[in-house]
Amino acid sequence: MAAPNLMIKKRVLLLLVFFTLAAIGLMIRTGWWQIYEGERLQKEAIQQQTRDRIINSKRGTIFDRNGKPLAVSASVETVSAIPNEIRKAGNAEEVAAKLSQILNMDYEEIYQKITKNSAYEIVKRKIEKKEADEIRKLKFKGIHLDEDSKRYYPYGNFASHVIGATGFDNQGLFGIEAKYDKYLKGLPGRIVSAKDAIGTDMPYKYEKYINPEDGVNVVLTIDEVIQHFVEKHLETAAIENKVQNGAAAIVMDPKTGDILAMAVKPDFDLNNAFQIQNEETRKELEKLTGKEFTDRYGIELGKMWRNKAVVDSYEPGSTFKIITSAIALEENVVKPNDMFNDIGYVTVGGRRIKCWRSYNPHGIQTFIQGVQNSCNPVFIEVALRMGAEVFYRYVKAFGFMEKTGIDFDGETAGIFHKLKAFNELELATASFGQGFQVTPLQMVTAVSAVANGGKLLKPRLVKQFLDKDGNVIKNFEPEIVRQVISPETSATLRGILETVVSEGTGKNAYIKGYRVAGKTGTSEKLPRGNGKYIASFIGFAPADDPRVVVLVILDEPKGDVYYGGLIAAPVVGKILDDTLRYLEVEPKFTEEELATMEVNVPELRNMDVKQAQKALKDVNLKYKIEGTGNTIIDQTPKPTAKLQENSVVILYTEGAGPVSNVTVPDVLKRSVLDANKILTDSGLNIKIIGSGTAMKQEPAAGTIVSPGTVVEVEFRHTDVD
Amino acid sequence: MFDKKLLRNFDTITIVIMVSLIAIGVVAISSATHVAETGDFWAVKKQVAWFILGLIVMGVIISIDYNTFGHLATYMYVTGILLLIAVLFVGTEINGAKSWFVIKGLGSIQPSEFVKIIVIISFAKHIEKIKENNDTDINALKNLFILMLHMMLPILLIMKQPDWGTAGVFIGIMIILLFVAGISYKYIIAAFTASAAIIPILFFFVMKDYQRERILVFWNPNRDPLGRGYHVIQSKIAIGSGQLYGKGLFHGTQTQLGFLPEQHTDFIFSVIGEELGFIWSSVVVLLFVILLLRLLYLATVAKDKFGTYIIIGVTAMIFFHFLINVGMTIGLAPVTGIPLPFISYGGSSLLTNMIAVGLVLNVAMRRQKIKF
Repeated sequence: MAAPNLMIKKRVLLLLVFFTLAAIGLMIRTGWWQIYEGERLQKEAIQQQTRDRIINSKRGTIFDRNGKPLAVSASVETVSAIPNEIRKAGNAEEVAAKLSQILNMDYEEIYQKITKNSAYEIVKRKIEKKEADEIRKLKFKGIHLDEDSKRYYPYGNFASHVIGATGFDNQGLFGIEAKYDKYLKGLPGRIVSAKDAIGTDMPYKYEKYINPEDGVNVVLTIDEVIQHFVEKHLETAAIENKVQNGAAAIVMDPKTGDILAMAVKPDFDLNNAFQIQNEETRKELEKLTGKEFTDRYGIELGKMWRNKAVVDSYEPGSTFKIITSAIALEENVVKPNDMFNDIGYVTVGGRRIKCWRSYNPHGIQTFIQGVQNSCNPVFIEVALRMGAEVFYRYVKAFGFMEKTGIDFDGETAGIFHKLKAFNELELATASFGQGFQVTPLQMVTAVSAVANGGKLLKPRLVKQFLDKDGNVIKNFEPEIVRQVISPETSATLRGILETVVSEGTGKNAYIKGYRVAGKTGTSEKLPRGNGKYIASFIGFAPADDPRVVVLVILDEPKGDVYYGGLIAAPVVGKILDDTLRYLEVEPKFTEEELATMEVNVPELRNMDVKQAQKALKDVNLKYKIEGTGNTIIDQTPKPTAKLQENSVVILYTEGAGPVSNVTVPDVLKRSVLDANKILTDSGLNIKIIGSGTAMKQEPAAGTIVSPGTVVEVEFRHTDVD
Repeated sequence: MFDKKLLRNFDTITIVIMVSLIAIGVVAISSATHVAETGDFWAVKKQVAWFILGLIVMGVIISIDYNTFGHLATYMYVTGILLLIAVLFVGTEINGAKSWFVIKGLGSIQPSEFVKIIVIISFAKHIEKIKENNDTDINALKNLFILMLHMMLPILLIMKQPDWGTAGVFIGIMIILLFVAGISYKYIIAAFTASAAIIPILFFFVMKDYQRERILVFWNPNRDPLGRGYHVIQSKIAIGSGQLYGKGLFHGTQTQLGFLPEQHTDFIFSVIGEELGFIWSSVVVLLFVILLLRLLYLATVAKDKFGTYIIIGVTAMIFFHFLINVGMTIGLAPVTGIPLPFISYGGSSLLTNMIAVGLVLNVAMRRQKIKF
């Protein structure tokens, strides 16, 4: 038996080295995971050990400028299931049966979901509080209810293109809802809880509740009342004129750039934003399936949601003569009373460009008359005087070559010539608004600059942000982009444009008591000659101190007429009339207007004849008594109807014989005077809308009515472009 | 028989390290068995009970001269083999291996653990005998063959259970003992060359698909993250997420939420890594290194070669358990299910390792050449 020898010692030494190296290796590898990869593995650990449930924040309200809610969120709840917990409880059948009953859902569908091999399944979104409470009472393990919110739009179709809608996750999809989504949506809260390796929630081990932060309330510059006027009149016009490609209207406050109203027709119900409104399209869609369907459906939705007033560009036509005039006056190449001679056409660069009324040339006229007549050669002449470069510079200064910067997604910048290619011929056609495209918004913004003393403003849709208690978080101040023309030029041009309405092609925009300025526009869509037009009118009032600028565009009217002066101008007139009254702008009536004032028919029933006669005399109305009694039993028209002064009210007393009804005569194509006479002679009353020639009457000719009935007659001037 | 003078050479360093490791183990076991949550100390109690039993057994072992065991080597070996055969017939299958005797009321006992000690003694004795006449007789092919046979019999029986981890430890013990016994380098080189040649052949031609898959999963656990790769992935996440300082005792989420499998037994090192961080996992590794180096030292001072071989055998056993177990938790070794000495929960393992340390102490105490 010998003690360990040298050989053994040497080999043990080798072992020592081997063991040490092996241990160092283990330590390095451990350190690698713990220090180098530690953070990543820590994340991985947290990820697999926690369950994260999102609690949606309450989306902010969208208000109109006066605080009327246009989009609100209501609390609803979302039912979700944790299949693992249900499996443990072993009552999937019972849960599915009860839930299907409460939620009115298919049993199989629910059963599939709650037994699925997944960590978390949503059973149904956005259920009402009542249903949620019923489910809560059942206290099922593994069924959770989380707060959620649902968007409601109290006014439905109202300003749908501006407000926009939200998707299933309450995310803004378009419009203000999308543009300010970040602010409206707030910060979602979370419930983070520990789960064990099997997937069971272990809230007692770890649970953290992070409160959701409610979204910001957005106050629009839109005025709900004005928007309603615009919607109403635009809708009527769109239907009457059978517009094929939609209609748009914008009302802007020229002093601030506030969009007071912006409407697009046809519209859709924001509460049902995913349903295609056009019935034919819907039927076509129903025939499609699969990818074909989804593709087409997406396109149609996009079309329906498209805010024409901001996104689509069009050829402005004669309305652009406002801009040409502004440049000419500012650059002093023309004076209002300079004389021009229109022979029906001008030759520019060897090409003959005709006036719209070349069949009956305007002849000798001043510049003012040229604007009133919307005479193309006059504008070609002044444009040539200033030259392409000046014209181009101003078009740019008026903002037609860039986006206006409105707070709305999808805005486009229009299309204008390149300066290099902008020759005399292009200049000539551009002078009367042809050969380029602008957006309705650009047009309104530029004309606002003309109206407000020359300042180009950045248009805006949002006035302020409020917190949930109504405190102002942020105010959006009006932004002046640049001074484009001088206040003097602006004043001169306002006066000229007023005469366009009072004497020229814009007469149909005339309204009693207010000085309206504006310009008509009709452009033929490309390719020319296909009979597709865009009729527009842009106007503002009062002309001496403009409060609102209004643009109405009717894209492809398919009625009898397509002239902007004929079909768009009256719409602007009606909008201005309603809006100015609403804004409490004091009307100033001319003598002539005072002579044709309307009065309210007073309540006369139950009065005795004497009293009634006095009451009518007070408001300058005449009367005709039927019967022999002393007390008024009935009257035509009924109270609060509006009548021209000196109209006749029929009073019925006791003993009135059977009334002989009247057949409404045809007054179409008659002048105001003629129509008035014909109706009065038939024992009827007239309500005069507009001036010029009668275009429309209601009730229609041939209708049998009682005497004294009011017949509404709409008059239009037809000598317009 | 027990001489008080022997106590002079009682190796306190070894004992202190062993007790430290066991203490760390008990703490880790308490966390791994969720004492904080359940208030149930069953595992801690049992482990401490085995520790006390271990101390008693160590006392007994120390008091008997190891050469007495040497004389009884043959009987012990035969008993061991019989136990291994018996377990194949009357044993209970746990975790897919028929390695356990379940004795009602007492718990379960894993004979292969104790057989390791027996085989270390018998093999050490065997080598000593072969080298009795001439130091180089070990290199005689015939002797080598018999030595291999000596070892392969228990190994084959253990593989039959099957318990690849323990079988691997046996092979490791054999190689290291032969190495220290002075086997010629040419055999060593030949063995390495042969394995290098055989492994690819085994892999591509002999192994069944599922076996190959196991190796591939070891190489890349994400091949089967919820199946065979699950243990390693979760262990790595546990250790890694502990980072430098750990998440705090009883606060390891991987451990407490049950993501870490076999946490109080095979993956106890991951619990330490997660809750106590790199600092304490390094402490554990360092304690093992110090223990192993101390044992190697003691091996060189033994009074005879039999003693040296016993200590080397025990060192090899502890080393391979340590290497394979820790390696497994950090993805360096395949998951074979062998415990970490002194730290993992388990009576058979703790007792075996304490007996082994007792044997070492036994040898070390008697190192003084008797002087008259």
